[in-house]
Amino acid sequence: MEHSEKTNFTGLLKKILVNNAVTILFVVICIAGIVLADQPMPYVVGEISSRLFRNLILILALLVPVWAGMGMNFSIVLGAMAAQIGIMVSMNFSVTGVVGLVLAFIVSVPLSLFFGNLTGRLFNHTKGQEMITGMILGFFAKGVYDLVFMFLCGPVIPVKNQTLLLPNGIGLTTPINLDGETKGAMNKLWTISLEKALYIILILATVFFVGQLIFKMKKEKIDWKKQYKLYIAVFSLVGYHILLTVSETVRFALNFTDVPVVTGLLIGAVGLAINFLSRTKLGSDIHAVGQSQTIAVSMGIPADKIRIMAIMISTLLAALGQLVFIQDIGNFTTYTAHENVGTFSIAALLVGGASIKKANIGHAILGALLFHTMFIISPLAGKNLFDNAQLGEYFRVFVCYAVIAVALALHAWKQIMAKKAEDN
Amino acid sequence: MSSQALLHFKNIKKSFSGNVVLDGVNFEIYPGQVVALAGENGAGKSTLMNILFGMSVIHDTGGYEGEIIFEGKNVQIQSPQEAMALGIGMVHQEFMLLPGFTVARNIKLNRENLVPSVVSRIAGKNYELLDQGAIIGDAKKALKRLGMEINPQTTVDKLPVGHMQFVEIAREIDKKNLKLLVLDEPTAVLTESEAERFLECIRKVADEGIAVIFISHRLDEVMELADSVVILRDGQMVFSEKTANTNKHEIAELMVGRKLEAESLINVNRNLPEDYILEVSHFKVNMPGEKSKDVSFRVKRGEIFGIGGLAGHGKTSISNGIFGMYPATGTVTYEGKQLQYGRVGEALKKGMAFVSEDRKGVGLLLEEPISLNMVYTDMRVNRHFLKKYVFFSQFDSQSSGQIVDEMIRELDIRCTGPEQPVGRLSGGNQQKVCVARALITKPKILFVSEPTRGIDIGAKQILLNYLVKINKELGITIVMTSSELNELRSVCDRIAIIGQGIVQGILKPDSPNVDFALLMSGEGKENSNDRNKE
Repeated sequence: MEHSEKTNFTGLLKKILVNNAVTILFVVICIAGIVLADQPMPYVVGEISSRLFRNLILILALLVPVWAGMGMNFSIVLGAMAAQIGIMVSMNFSVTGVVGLVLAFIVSVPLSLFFGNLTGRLFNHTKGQEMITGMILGFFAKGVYDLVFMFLCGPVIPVKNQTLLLPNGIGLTTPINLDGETKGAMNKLWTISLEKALYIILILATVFFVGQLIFKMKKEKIDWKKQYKLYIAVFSLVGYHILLTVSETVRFALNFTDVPVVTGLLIGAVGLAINFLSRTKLGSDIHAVGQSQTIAVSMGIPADKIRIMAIMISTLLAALGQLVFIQDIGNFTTYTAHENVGTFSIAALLVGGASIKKANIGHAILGALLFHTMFIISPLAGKNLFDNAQLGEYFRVFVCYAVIAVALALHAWKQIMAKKAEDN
Repeated sequence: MSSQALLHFKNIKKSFSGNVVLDGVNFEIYPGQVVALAGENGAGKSTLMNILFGMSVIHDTGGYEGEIIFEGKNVQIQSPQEAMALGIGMVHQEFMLLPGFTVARNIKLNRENLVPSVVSRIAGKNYELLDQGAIIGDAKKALKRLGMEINPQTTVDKLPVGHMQFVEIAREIDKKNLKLLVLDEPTAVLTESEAERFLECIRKVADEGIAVIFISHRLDEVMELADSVVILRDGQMVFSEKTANTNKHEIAELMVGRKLEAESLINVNRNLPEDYILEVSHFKVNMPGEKSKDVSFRVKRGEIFGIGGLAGHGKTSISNGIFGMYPATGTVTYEGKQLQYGRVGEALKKGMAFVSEDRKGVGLLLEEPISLNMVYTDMRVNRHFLKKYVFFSQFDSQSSGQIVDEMIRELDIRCTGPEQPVGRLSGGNQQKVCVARALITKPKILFVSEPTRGIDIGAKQILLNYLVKINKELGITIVMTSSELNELRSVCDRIAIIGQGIVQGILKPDSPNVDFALLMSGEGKENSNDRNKE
């Protein structure tokens, strides 16, 4: 009896380690990096927070195609292009500030939906190879994009705003700098300190779970052992409060960091929309198609249409994400800004513990946190460790691609292990 | 029973590119009636069901002749969706369930109960929310109608295999307009007690007034459940009768049917000495779709040993397991020594050879010439036909030329020459290349699997004659697996029939038809157990 319990425990531990290998590896790298980099806490917290707000929507954009069984959507690059085109249009007509961003978004919606639709159709012809197709499609789209903006803008496509053009009048200048008013327009609308923001989120979560429980109590008996979410929320709230009262450095760092409320609300809205989608008929169909196209079709679900929908949603969210990204930074390199959107977002999501078959909002948030921590820390750690900033920069890129490779390999390995266990 | 037939097949005919697969099928089904549809593999059962469901394979090959009358109306069903709309449901042999979804979600798949949401008022029905409570409620109701206690909230991948079939039935009967339910070998994966409960379920469904077409090879079940029996053989309806007016033996006899001429049985009365070259005991092979569970038999030296049985019951897995193609357990003793069959290539090294049923997949290098294909295995395993240098070796096309030419002549391979790529040859000639390749390794024992599948009659005869010839002249023991019973009977000394993954019995080629049919339909278990006890 005792023996079996022991094996169960080690078995469970092994299972947890195997299932979260990538995430655990990254937690270790991040902690080691933070120690080695030896940076002041306010700096680290501030950088991580601003990158989180900058990148999260792009990562969330990847979720829906994973549900649909199409793997990581490398073609979100096309969504990023749609957003960049939107910004160029609003700059061309000199519309600035929040209105400029809204106009850019309005322009990018039909574009991204159109791109997404075409991508989805292509994917339906290359079933099972969506990831590599998406990647190559990104390269191809870049060629078309370059043609349009490097050669056709000016001579063929009239450009009203001359500052956008290169001096000889052919092609757009690079990088494109947003107007002072547009830069960070959304972020600047309303900011509060991270300290407050975390309080508000934790309190809201607690209130929400309590409210949900009260609502349920009227209908059925509550199983108090199963209310993990409520306990975690209350525990975190109390823990957070204690942490702040105990540690002056943490409190200072969090207080020092400002977070953009509107951007945060937008991210929250996207998260809620994705959550909502998963509970609708369409979401159910997407999950069904993701598990087996044959079965879905035989039950009358139009799998091909659903797959196109999934890619369209993903591309649209990617456009929104890239828009938030660019307004935060304030400029973008005209011909290359979209290049790494796919790989970086995918690497982040994989680090968060997602696989090409399973991904949720939790994976996206955890992944963004870990990946961008590493992103900030690694050059600094490299500099401290080898006295060479270049090395850290190299490490940053190397790790990004290594993550994707390791995550995919581990995924394959997990499947082999599962099959072996089944055979035995 | 109402006076009007629910479904009436009227003189249904169908041929695939000139090959007649259905020839004048006529029968009727009334509401609440269970009709068993029986017949060998390839008798035309699936084709008939494909016609009923409007599958694209039928329309793409020129449609069918005859009429289908459903509820008194002549219908031309164009797609499975149309069949569903008419109230025809099907439970497939392989499970059509999503493993990651709960039982309830699977039962209500694409017929979910929905409630409008804020978004759906603007964006349409796709954005209505799933009503989990109602979905679970409906699923519970459907399962209760079947008398099953399955928790609708468990995911299907955590469900025992035996329960999945019930979930499928629950899904069908949950459809409000279901009038006809087709079950394709539903009990094949069920244990005996599960199968019993399953039959009770079907009875309940029928008592609600739903007509059932029940395809099964288990004759006991047919006798117990069905009101009437329809038997197809080679596309013709040979029998249609009330179950009460017939019996198991008659059905078995009719399923196999064809009479064999005595002179075509070559090896009926050879008396070979009790010298066993191969002993297989408690062999279990995990080959997807062809699992064998516990197979034991012995093969005499110099014998032609047949392995027969219905598709999906595990006969093909045995030779594949011995040659290390799929994971297996149990013992295989060859020439008195245990064979390490888990290691790929081990059997080949020990002087065994294998002609696979998957000619194009694992049998041949389609882009390469006949000569290389013929000597490839011998070159890999026995290192013949190689010019040897210090650290490497190279294929020696000259030394192989003679034997290749010989084989081409011997087997009458129709080709432009030994350098013709194998991919250009006809199926029969490709098969001959496979046989030649196996023989060049000079095996003591040759395994051939489905040697005549997909080849024309002339080539078939040459191949069978050649197998008999090498058996007699070179003394090569042959283990031949085939779905065609007559082919086995015409060349084999003894034939083992595999059913449900075990040896149902071993028969002489001149045993009566009924015996073969009964073993194939899984009625031989008791007999073989008795035999083992002796």
